[in-house]
Amino acid sequence: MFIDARQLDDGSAIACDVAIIGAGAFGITLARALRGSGRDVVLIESGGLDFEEDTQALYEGVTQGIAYNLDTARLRYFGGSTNHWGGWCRPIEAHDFEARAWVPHSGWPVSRADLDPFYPEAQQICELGAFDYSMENLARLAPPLGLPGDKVADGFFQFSPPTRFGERYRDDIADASDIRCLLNANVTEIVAAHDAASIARLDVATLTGKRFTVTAKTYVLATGGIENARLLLASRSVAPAGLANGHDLVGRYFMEHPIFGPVASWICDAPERIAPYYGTYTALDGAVARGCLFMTPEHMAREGRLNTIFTFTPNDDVRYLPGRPAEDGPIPLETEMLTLLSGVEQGLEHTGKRVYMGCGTEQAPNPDSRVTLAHEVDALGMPRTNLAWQLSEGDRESLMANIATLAATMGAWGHARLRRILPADFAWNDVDMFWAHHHMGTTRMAADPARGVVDANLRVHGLGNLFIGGSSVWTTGCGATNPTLSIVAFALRLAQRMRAGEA
Amino acid sequence: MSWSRRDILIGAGLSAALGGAVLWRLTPGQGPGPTMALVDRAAAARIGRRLLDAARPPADGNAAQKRIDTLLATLPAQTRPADLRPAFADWILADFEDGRMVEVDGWYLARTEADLAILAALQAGENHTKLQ
Repeated sequence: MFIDARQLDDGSAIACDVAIIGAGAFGITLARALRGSGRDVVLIESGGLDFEEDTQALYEGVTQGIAYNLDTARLRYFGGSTNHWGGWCRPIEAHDFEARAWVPHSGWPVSRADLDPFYPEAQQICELGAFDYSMENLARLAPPLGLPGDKVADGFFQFSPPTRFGERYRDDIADASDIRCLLNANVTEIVAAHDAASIARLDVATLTGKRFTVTAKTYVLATGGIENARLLLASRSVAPAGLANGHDLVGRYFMEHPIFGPVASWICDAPERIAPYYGTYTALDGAVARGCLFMTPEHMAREGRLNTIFTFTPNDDVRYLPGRPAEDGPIPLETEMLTLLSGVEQGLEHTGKRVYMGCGTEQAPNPDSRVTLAHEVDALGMPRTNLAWQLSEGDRESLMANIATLAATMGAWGHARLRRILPADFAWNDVDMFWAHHHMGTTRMAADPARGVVDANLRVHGLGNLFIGGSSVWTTGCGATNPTLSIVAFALRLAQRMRAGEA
Repeated sequence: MSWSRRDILIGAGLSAALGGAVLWRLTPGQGPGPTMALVDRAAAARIGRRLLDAARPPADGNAAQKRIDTLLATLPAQTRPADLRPAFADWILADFEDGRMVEVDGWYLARTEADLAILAALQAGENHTKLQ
């Protein structure tokens, strides 16, 4: 059922078995998966069922380093940021979980095998097709490019409709006898017991001035990669440095996926070899798929690189006439490149293809890229976010090297030449880029409490009854793979462990 | 197309390097030397000009010539002109596979095709001068 917290009596005390903070992809999935488990669940959502400006304004904060729009990156109402996600889905690659000697702070305490049992159901929840991301699956539609070598590989995303969890699963929450969803309820502090070894209660407030508490046997924090850190850091009545922050890790290692429009274009003398699924959304057995290219783990290991996922944007036909001097066009030397490449007869007009490549790219974990608390407070008296997102020269070099690798692979293919559009000497602060709004790393996962905030089962080190969900537990950026599908898979995994009495 | 001084120099260089293995290049009237491997020498010359204008390595005609000569030296003694294009195609693919690339205006070229383009540009420039 839904309960508007503004209608509760001031000073109310609500008790339950499991208190989930945040009704986004993780929180809704976990609550649904716990139905009928014998647990009384309270799902606590800051917003209502629809967008409201005063609630959204609680996200406002200050930024240093890379400029960032904190107040628009997430949505603060039932369904969370699934209310505006784009639906790109792909599981985390097996190699992304592994420690990489050339990427400091890499290596998860879980493997892909730990998530594989949960991905098929996560696919269904996200309204995707079969859990088969093998290229053989997509190649049933048309042959892939067939790029040579072992540096660049084909892959594809599946696309959720996208599932708006707050709409799609609203009735499930409303009808569940064992779920109470408190709307317009903002957790202002996760209060630790005096021994700081467990959580005693949640302090909750509404924007209308009501204050109340929620106590539970188990608490789950799932408010997003920035808010998770903010709430832990602001929960300092028992631990002055913030909850779960004994090793000064909460808020550090903040990562995003920089997203670029065209970073390169390439011309191709064999347009028929470019399968339609690379450039557009394509039906695949009830799913929607779109091809992409990314660096192989072998190549990244050899060259010490991070990953970049290249996507295709709409293509243009390019007519060219070998033997006829080209006029200077908006793209220098393009016709010359086509004639140099194609080896076709002079005097006959031919049609090639111009393909633009966008990309999302990985950044390395960086302890100095971090979320802290600002001096300013929000309408509830909570310290606002201070985000100092940093991208390094190494991140830039890796992206540029990956573009060059793509160019080399295209050239070795024998049907294309690539032109870099992204300036070679770009600076992260000046370049025209977007953000994926994937907030990762601020409560990173590690087996060692000195290296991570949560363990392999999402339990906060040193706090027996607090778990954290969402991509804040990501240890590395996982290429540029969108996290929602894996967030849902992790929620299902935690639910199974709770049902089994292991959490 | 008539031979330019550059072609003669190229041919002489090749002759010295190869001991007469590809003497057909020294026969006036048979073509413009290794740049005949290009489908469109005018287009290549425009690329080569941009490389030369960039005035940074490997925009150096002598160095380009040396590298091309080295490749040609690996051809069998009785290589025919018609075999030149597939040989260069293989070398170009090998350049890309090994990451030997040159950038011009953002385009990534194989070093061998960049070298050919530079030679084509020098050749075109000398022909142009001659016509003037």
